[in-house]
Amino acid sequence: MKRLSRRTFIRGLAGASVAMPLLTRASRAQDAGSEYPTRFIVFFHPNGVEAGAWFPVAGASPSEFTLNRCHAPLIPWKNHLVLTSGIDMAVTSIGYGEPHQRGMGAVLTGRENNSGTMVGGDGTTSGWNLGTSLDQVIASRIGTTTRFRSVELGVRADVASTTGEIRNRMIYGAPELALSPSNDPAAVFRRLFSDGVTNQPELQSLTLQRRSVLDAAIGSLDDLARTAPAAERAKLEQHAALVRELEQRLTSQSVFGGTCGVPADPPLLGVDSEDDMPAISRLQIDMLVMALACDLTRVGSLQYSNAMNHVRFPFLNFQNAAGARVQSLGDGHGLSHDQGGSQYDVDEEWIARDTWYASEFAYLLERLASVPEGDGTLLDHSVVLWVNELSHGATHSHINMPFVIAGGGSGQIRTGQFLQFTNEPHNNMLLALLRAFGGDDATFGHPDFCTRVLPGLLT
Amino acid sequence: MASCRDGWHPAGVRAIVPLPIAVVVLLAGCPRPSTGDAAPVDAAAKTPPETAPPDGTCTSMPPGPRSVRLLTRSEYDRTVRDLLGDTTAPALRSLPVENVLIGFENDGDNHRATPLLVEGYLQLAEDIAGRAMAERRHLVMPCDPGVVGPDACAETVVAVLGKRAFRRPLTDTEHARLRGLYAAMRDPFGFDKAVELVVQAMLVSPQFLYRVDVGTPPATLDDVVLASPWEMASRLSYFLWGTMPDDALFAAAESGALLDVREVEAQARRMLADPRAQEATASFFRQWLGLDKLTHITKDAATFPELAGGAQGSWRAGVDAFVQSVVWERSGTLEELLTSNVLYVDGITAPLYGLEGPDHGGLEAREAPAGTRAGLLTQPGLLALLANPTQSSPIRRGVFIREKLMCQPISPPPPGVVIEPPPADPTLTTRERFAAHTNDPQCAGCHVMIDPIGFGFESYDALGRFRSTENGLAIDDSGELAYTTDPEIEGPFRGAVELAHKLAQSQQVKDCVLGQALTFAIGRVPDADADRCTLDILRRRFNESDSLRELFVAIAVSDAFRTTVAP
Repeated sequence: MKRLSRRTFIRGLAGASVAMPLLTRASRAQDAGSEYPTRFIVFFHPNGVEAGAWFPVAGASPSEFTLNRCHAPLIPWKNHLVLTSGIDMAVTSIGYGEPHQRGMGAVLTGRENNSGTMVGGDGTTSGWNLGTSLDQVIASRIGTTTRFRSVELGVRADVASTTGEIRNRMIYGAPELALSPSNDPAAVFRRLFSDGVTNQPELQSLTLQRRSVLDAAIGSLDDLARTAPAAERAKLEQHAALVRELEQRLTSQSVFGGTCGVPADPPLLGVDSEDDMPAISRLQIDMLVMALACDLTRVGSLQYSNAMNHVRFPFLNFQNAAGARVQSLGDGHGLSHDQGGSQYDVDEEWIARDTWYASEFAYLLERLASVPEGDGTLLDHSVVLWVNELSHGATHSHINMPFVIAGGGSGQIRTGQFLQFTNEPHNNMLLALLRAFGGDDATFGHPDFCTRVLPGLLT
Repeated sequence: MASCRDGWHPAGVRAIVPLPIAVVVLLAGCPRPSTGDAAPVDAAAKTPPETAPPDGTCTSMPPGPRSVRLLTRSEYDRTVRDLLGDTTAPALRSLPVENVLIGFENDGDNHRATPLLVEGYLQLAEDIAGRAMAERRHLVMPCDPGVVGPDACAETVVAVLGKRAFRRPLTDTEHARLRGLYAAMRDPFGFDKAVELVVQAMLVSPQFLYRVDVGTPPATLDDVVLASPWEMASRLSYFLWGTMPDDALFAAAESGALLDVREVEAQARRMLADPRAQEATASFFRQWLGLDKLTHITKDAATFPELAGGAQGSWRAGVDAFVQSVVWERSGTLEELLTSNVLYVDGITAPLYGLEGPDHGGLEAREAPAGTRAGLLTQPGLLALLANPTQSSPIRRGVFIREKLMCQPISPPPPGVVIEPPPADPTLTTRERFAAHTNDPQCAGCHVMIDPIGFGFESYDALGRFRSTENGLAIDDSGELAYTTDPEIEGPFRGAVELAHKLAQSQQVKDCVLGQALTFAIGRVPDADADRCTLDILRRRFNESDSLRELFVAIAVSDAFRTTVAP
């Protein structure tokens, strides 16, 4: 099959995603004679859930269950979901930090936090997490040939925080190396798609220029690494390795065509604006899905807010217990502690917010399902993991985590079930998801908290 | 009701951790406290601070950083402003926030290259170089290619701009590399593009992106070396200005004058008179006190309908203006910072605090009624930040003072404890409701360090408004300072104003402030042993003047700032 090169794209009309002229989608994986690649997506929202409105009502068998209130927007996607209960983040029993810090650190790594000086909500201190997050482990295996190894996106993920710290980072490229999400859709567009709207001769020139500039940087980095103190050398060598990787990825052949196209250039939005949050969410989802459809990357994440979670949802109206429709004005973290709204029903407000997250999750699934790939869709070829750093905000618990999985994983995931466990360490789930991407890993995260491959999840 | 439940063993001052703020506790000779006993803090914590040794008793020089540190976003933005006239603050807009462990963004160990940063640096370089060539060509090219010839002009760009971008003369290898890039790009893309790509290459070079501190052999003294004059120029400029050196500093580096401590002091004093110093100190206070959080204060709309329009921006601006005015327009002393009765208010905050508003959109200084305000700690914005959405928070206020001003980290509640303010009760004052903390023996271990300070601020409500009653009940703003390392300030006090005056005289507070400033200056946590002499000398100098500006000078001439561990 003929390998498609980057094609010339015309910037879309404002507000519209431009589907490119239909071409037979030809992925590198297909070139190699295999199926569409399996993609991995993480979706995060903070501060736990209201269990009574979240966990489904179980039926006679795992496939017979009724979605609870928070998941009402997911009813059309029920057969693409795996709901879970009884999974604990047992590894948070060791290491450092308060529960938000421990949960943020461990949720994707299955490891504990180091000691350190980052001050948590109650004054506890913690260092960075000691693991590599699942998405990055997967990216190191399936993301080596794409333009981007992985794409971390945020929706107000850094709000109320002026630094990257343990409570607003969940992605770890390596132990104690937290990766930051991009919160600004305009910057994300620029990063992911600006090359897609550059014509081919220009892009070739640009690539040559970039490689030449980066070559010079690599030479300088190598020089400096040689003369730098030993303790600092690793920093520079790591930097040089990243520049080399970037240089190599510049020439990677992403596959545009079919339903892959450059989305519209997003409007400038207030990255920290609570009013713009819904629009930012949709734009980030659109761009992430397109980046996956175009095979710009195979691994991505969407982080909504962070464990500090001082985010309000004034765009959301909900029905309080008295039956009145009221505007949601509570501070997220305050609501999770059953406070912060003097006139409203805090539980209902929290449930309404969780339902909003579910609607965004449903939109993500809808977008993924809208991309046809062979006999199925991009959703069929994806594994989507929805996580939280706590199970319940008021008690800061890590017991009975509200984990949700979606997508067929190219046939690896047995969807349409509600899997119930008792005190199952969450490392077991991370291990099962890793194995959905091939390999025969025996453990994931801290081995003391990984007792088996989560049963029932994989086909 | 706040509860501290099963299995919590009260602990006092936490085990010493390598917080910058803990340095001063160590310096002051605070021993590791006992835990689990009835006494929350080891009695030895009350031992007076050790007396600093007289000058000359320090036998080994404390080494400074030997490191490479990535520029922070704000350092990057100010540097490209001064290098190429680019005032768009591109890094703050497009790079991720720094990963930070030590409390300050210039954290050498934690602000490290990531895929997103490396991509971002390339994109920024393309943007900045493109803008510079299009809009400010003379800043890139101090020559006319039509006169001296394109290749000779490119040589000049490499040498002249390169030296400013790398903040030192280029090595032969570096020069050849950039010249080679120009030569390779000239034919396919033309002279202008080739020069633009050379500028890009400078901007993605580690010599630009990192502050490189590796010292200068052979100026060794025992196991340390002096920073090279070029390194010293950058150390000074990034500490005092948050940006690259200017021509005068470069000249002092070129001549080697910066190897002389007297020249370092002269340069530091010159630099402090420059407006750029105000940017850098604003940055220090912003990071030390966490002032960015003021922008995100949330208050309950039903409780405070008068805040309908929001006051966050005015609170933030008011605190910033207060700090800047004390440091730069007034005495600059720690005492004035902690005791001044001046507030900066605008049209939004003035009516909230019963002050006459300015007749323009900006801020104006107002003197608060006698006895109602004292300095930083009673700034309305800070008091509003250190409160809950519906009520004041003695806890937040007490913890803030312990940690930020006294450098005494507080032991946290254990995991699993429900940490919630007590619910509203119109028949009680906030103090009465919070009293459960200190009365509950399970909680008392730590809250005895927090609440008696925080209760002193009960004269200020959740918005930081002065009050004498709450729910019709008289406010009790009596408090007590205990478990400090400074016997001079121990004992009862009444209200935040008296507390602030006590703190302003406290050796513990002075030591804490200088520890924070030194951390900011050297990008690492001072080591209680290795930096002991530096800390002692700084303490003596700071005690003499009480001046924050003099403290910055003293740090600039200190051994820890001017030296590097020998290779």
